[in-house]
Amino acid sequence: MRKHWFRSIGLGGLSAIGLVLGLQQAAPAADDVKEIEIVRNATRKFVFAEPNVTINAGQSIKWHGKEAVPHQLDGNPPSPLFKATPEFKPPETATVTFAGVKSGDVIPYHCNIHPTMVGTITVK
Amino acid sequence: MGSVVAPSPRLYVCGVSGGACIVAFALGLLMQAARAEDSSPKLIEPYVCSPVPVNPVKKVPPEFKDICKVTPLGGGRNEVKVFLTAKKTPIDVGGYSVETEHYNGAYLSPVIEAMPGDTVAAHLENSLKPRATNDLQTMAHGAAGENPTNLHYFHGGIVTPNNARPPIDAGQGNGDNIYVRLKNGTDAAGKPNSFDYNVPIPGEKEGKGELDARVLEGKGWISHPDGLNWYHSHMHGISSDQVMGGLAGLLSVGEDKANVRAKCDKESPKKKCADDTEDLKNRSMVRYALLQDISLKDISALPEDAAQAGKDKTAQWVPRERNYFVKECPVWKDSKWNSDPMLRKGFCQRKKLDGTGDEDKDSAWLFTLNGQRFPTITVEANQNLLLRIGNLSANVAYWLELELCKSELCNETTGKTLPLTVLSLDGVVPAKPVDPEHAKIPVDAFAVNDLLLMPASRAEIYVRNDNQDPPHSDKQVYILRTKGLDVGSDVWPEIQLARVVLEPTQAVSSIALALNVPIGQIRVKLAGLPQKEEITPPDGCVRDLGEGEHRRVTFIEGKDLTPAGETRWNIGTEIMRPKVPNVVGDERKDFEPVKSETIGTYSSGRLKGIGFEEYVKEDGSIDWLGRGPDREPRHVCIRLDHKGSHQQLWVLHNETSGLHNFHIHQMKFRLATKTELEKKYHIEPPKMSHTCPDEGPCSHPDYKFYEEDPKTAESKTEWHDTIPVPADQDVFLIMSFDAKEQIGRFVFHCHILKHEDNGLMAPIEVWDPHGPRANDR
Repeated sequence: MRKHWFRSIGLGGLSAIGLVLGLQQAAPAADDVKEIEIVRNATRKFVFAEPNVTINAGQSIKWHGKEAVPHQLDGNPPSPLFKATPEFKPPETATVTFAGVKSGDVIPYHCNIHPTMVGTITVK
Repeated sequence: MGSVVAPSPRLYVCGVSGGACIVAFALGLLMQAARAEDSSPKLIEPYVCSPVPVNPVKKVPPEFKDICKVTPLGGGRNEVKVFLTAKKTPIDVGGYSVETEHYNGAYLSPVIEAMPGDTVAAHLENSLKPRATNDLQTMAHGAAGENPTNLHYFHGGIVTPNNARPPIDAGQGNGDNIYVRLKNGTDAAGKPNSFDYNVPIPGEKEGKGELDARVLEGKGWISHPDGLNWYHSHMHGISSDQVMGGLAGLLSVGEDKANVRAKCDKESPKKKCADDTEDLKNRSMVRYALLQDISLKDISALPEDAAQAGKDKTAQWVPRERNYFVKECPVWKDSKWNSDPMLRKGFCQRKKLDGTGDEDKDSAWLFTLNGQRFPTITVEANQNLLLRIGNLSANVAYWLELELCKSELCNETTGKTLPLTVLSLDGVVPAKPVDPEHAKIPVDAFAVNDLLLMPASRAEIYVRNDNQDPPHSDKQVYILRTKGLDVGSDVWPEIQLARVVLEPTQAVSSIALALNVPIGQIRVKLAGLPQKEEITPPDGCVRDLGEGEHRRVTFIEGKDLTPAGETRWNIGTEIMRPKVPNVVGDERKDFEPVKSETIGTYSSGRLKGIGFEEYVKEDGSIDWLGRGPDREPRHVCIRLDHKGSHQQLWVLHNETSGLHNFHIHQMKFRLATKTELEKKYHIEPPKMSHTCPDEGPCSHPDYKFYEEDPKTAESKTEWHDTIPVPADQDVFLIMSFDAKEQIGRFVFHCHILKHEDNGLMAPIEVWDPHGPRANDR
């Protein structure tokens, strides 16, 4: 339920989310932001256009979509390396900065609202 | 493969005498008419099982001989009984010989007509073959070899499930009880396994069977509403397959023209009103129209292959190929793929099943009307058409419109649509609940440019051919189509469904249609259940709503896909209360759940809900008591006390990625009004009450969330038993549990049946605090 999202994000979570819904204080440099689009696949299910990505430690990922349907991204299973984003509905976007990760970390994640929408983030 | 070629426009060169010209012109018209019939056969009318004699008497098709039995019960009441044998044999579907699961050897099932006060009965035999056990044919529970079936008898009925009285098991009740699980095979005597349903329709006659008017927000006692309903298999896990195959038919409560009424001014003499109504009825020709669709592969010839005309075509039924993802549904014609929607006359084709993404010339998705592909409905001179139409599709929404054609063949249209005059929706006339005073106020019938029929929805549509001024001396030919529709999880294509031909007419009638007196005569008598010692709630219940509370029902996507790669679905139900009592607030922000009464678990603060499978035991029966030390899962229970059970607010919240189609058994519901939400339930209505702008075109149906406040006392009230719920939207419903017919165990669910089969259904139990209750120990 959308009214509960804030309960699931502790202070640690807020530090991991560098930019969410325009609430950021210091936006990461554009080069440090990897963008992932949320699209429908051939069978009309929401998916990440690039489900498996590799990033550098400290890099950010920004998710965006076209359809005005809300998403909420979270580690799968929940992990301190990926704190849940707030619910966001395109044209809103969500951005997470992966500051506390190390090389070799593999972070599976999914959409809490559309749980079959899955991806992994691998740290170089 | 060849095809029927449309005639090109003809140029008639006339000689001096002119006679040759007339003959040639007449011959041309005849040839064109013949070709129209070739590509659009005359509508077949279904067999009707009714206590009202059919006039003129019609020949009973061989497959329906001896399947209808009408037995007088006394006092003018009848038992109308049909004998339905579910079996899997080759039958004709839209010109193909296809082996499907159907009743009595026909795709077009009998229509049942019964009057309020009658009892509808059915003897259902299960002679189905065992199901295959591969991934695409799996059942959610039970042995596939049993291939069980049952009946929702009937959808739209405010009738008893008759499954709440001890000591019988919920699966034994012989009312409208979808917990029946009738296996195939034979009994000890070697007869096919069978089940007998017996469902009284509350009527207005003395004695038994009256309906408590509070269920439709009236006073006293009323008859069951006259209107169009239906019956179908409701076997969880395989209902989409069985309904797509043909295990479904229409059921009319009341005589077929019951809702044709003339508008009467307040000052009109009573006799004139009656005469006008009689006049309209005499000029109304009734046609039942059953919309069905079916997915086929390995077709032996294209549907319009002229070389195959008159020869048997064959195809294989593929019931699990039930998703469609692109609006451009092509047709293979003239050795190439064509995307022109006017070529999709009752069919289009699909992609190969091998995952290559290529189109498949050997496939066909048929969209039939009365089992026919693109038939012609002819409205005779000086007559009007009462089209009693039902969407019997397992999964497809039909967004209907009627457009004028340029020619008799309907290969091109004019862009001019004919408004559809609606006399009833979902089996009820859309009008205020009737009381003797209100019945005097005329309520105009209303017309719409298009009409969304979600799966399971029905409508009575009136098309006039008697009030054009001046009368038309040429045939007017219209095309009935479903417009393309993107529902998120599927994209349904535009399909041309039928031709509607209005014969030249001389009649110019000034009688208008109205929606008055929709429900029946009221006998003023206070309704109430006999007062007995109050009993405790049934086991396995969450508590009912308390003061200031409402129910939220959330449609949720499941964590995993099915073996066939389809989405699993869950339902979560919560009892919501305001964070600050008696202050109007946002339903999503300013209300909170009573978590101890939630059905479904929370994870990361988000409700996950549960799928219907969690209630189903190994043998396919339902666990009403919950398992394990915490006795979960519990189910929704309603204490029928006419206080908390009357006008409950249910907020349907769809947080999935596609449209759903809410349906609840044994009742009707309506949308809450704006003022009602604010004043009674302290909810701030969303800014928009519906999805389309008030002016201008709209690319999708106008989905409603709540009703704007009625502007006049004559405003209509629409009652529904299904309603669409778009993605990320809330729909606000008023539900009244007041009739004793509602006592028992039934379900609410999504009536896109592939969703229901994949979990989007929940049990519900209505219990009488003063009477016997379910006992399923």
